[in-house]
Amino acid sequence: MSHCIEMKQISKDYDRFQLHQVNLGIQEGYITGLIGPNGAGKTTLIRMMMGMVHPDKGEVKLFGEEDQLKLSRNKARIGYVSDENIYYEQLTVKQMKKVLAPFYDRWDEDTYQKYEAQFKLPPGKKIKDLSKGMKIKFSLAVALSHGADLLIMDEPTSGLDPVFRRELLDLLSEHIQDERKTILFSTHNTTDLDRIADYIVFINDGRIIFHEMKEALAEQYVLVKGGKELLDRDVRRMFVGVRENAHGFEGLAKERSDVERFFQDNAICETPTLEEIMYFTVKGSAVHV
Amino acid sequence: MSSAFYLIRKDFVLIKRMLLLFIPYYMIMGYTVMDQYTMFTLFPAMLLLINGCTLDVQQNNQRFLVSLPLQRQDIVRAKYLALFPYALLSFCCTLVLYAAAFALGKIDTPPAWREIALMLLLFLVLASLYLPLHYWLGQKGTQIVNFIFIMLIMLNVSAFNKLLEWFPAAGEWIATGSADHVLPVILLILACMILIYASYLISSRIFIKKDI
Amino acid sequence: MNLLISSTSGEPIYAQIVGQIRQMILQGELVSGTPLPSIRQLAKELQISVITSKRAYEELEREGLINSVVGKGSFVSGADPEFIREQRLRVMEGRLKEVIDESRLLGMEYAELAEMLKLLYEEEA
Repeated sequence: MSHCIEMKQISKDYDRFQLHQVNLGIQEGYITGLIGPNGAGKTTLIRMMMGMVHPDKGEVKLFGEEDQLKLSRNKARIGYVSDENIYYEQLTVKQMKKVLAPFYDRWDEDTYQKYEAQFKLPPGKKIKDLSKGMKIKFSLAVALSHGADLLIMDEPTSGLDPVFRRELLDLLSEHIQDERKTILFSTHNTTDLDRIADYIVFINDGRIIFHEMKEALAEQYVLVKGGKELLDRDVRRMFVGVRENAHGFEGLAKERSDVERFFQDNAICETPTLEEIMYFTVKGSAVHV
Repeated sequence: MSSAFYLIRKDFVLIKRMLLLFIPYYMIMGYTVMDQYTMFTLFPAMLLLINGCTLDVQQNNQRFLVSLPLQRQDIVRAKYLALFPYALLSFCCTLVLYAAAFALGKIDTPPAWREIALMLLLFLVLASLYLPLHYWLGQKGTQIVNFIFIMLIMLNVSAFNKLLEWFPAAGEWIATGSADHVLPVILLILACMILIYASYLISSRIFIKKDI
Repeated sequence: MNLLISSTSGEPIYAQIVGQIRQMILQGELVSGTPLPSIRQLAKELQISVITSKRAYEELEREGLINSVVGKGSFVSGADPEFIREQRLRVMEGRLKEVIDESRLLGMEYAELAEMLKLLYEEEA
């Protein structure tokens, strides 16, 4: 299996935020979801992949290349959907398309027209007058129209209504029918990923907490619900994060089989959702600091 | 190289609206201060440059540029190459204005070719100061830099006249121009070219290292 | 081919797919040689991940129920009837075990259960 994005020992210092020696390889042919709370470093990582932000240390490879010249050429193979509008707001949709199309050798006008119609993009409207969802649809149409092998999307579903969110998931599945195509998208809305993601990268506070197959997560993690009397200090240590209320506790633990054997019938053991894994991990790390 | 063409075309698409403003501008200025080539040749070219640069950093548009399959120096180079169409455009406008004034009988002297040439050269000099600042300061500093440069051009009108008073020889050259002064002219052009190239190197160095 | 996937049932999605396809094959709904959708197509149609559908197919292949030919896709295998019968018997055993567990919960004796089974069997016939 080959990686189409590789990041090695990436570090970056900001005033109030650091990326610590991030290592990451994105599998070709699959959908990888990048999750984490706001401010965890998702956007910084994505901008590094796009060559917008330079790491202080470490290297970024795209399609196995790290040479600057080839890297920049390789951007033609990337469809990028930014978390904020990067297009010229005073231009109309049509003008903007005309501005950017000639930079891509594999630009396919028919495909673009198809998506323009499907997304109901108004060609004569100025970018600044488009709704947030429409702006995302436009950049999605662009990303899908130049034969990109890799889609990198930063929070593409925020600002989209639930109906189009579902449509987007369909589009992504359609894209991935060709097994040489790869998708990486970041989101804090994990329900999008619960369904279609193959791999999950979870980043919190500038560190990668895990990079796993989504299938494997369900077998690893367990959500335990039980009475408070079960929670002594040793038991607490088993959990990644715990939430207590008047009637009992909920805790996320990692070694599923061990934990299930330990609690047996004294507590309820469930498969956690991605959101629960994210919530308890962030909560747990906040306590330990 | 074709990428530079498309980048420049992009700039012209963006400044299209500004070009429309040129018509009333030249009409009014032509009516009031016919003999100020600063206002006809230098100022419009500079305005085009400033406008083209400002629109690139207004939102997050530099991110758009960097997301294209281009190297960062390609983006910078295109900005420098765009100086030539800007200069050409304002040169043509100046000529059209002159022709119109001549036809209307408002003017009866031949155009001051040397002054026009000097203004174009001055435009390149100012641009090679402006562009590194533009890439260095980015979105935050653009407003201030723009303001300073427009002030500089305004001052230039009077400064230029002062300069002529101090160096009568220069004024004489502009007025008459003779073959024995060819060498300084060539040196001046050469110096200007070197300045532009140095400025390009500095700008691309700054832009390549920058986090967008 | 109808596949109904529930993401809230607690049973892993791949296991749901395996269970349903297995059942269709054993019940003769899918006959030997029937082509199945490709892994990626199945993932798209069910809006699930590629790895999940891949895992389901791998499982079915291990059980000998389907064959995958590189470049051609997956087909219901031509396993002999004896084998399929054996598989079906195993499924039946599983269900009977469930019934036995249930009867124990209700405190039924074996004789009672046997009587119930006999009655039902005769009624059907």
